[in-house]
Amino acid sequence: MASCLRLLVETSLKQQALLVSACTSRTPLVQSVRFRKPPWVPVAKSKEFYVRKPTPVDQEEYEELKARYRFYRSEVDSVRQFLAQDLSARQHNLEDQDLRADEAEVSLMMQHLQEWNTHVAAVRNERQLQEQLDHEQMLKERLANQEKQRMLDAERALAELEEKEAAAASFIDPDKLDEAIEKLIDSRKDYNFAITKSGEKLFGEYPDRKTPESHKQS
Amino acid sequence: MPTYELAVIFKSLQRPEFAQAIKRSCSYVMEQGGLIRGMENLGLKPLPYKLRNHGQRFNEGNYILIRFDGKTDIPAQLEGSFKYDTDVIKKRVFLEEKWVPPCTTGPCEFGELKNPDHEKGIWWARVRRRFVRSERRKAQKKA
Repeated sequence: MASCLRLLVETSLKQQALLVSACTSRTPLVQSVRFRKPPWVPVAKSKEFYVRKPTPVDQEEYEELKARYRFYRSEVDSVRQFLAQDLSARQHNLEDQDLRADEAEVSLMMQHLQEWNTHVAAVRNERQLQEQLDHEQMLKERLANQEKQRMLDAERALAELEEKEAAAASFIDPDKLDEAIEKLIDSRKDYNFAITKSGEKLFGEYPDRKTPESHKQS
Repeated sequence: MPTYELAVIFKSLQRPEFAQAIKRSCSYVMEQGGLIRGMENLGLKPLPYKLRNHGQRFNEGNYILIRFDGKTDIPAQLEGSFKYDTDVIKKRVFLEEKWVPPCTTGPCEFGELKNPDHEKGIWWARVRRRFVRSERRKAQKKA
């Protein structure tokens, strides 16, 4: 950069501009051209057949500048190359370090994972064993309950059957129907009563009305 | 076979006719394959309200209960049998169920039954009140 500045002081304005652009960036110099004539406007009469005189160049100076510029470029390139090499080497080292750290972390994680897996497996096996035992116990209990229920059901069914058989004895046969009806008409039942604390029945709305006279057997 | 109870109200008849009427209703049951378990006479009573049947009005009737076992289609069959029996004022077949003492199964509640929708009712009342208020406000704004 120092040599670049020195050159700036020594050279002419136009070359200075060129050099500035060369020092700051690799992109070509672009000067904006303003207030130009539009293409349909003809060339001014005074400028018709005008040929610009070439800019006088000091040959010696030119060659000197050219040489110096070559030196300068080679220096800049070498510095640039050196920096690039340095950076790439550092990056390489960093990548290596990162890789090593990653590997260490992964191995640590794997170790933890192994530990957890063994622990979880132990817990699971214990739990599954307990579950199996519980299930077997439950099945046994259910079987016992079923057996008990079956016995109870059988007992109940038998009791019901006996009850029905006992009741069947008092069923009314068709040939004894007349007799039963006669008895029925004579016996009036009344559920319309209240019971006192001492157990006395107090008959309800029509306590006096028994079997009507017309229904009494003569 | 389930046990049914046939409750019949006969019109007030003389004894022989009454016996005949009971026998007829028993025969309806027996024709359908029913077995009569027993009968009960609740006597001649004034009816709770005036009843009409076969174009007549009745103020009193003889209440007879007939308990019988039979097929499950018997109640429907008996409808047809009793339809044209002019001595019968009214009849109904009940399925006899085993009596379960209260509070043996389920929740046991005494006194006034709780209304499960009470909270909901309160909430809806509030919503309705707010709606009415907002409507009124809208109307006022317009006016």
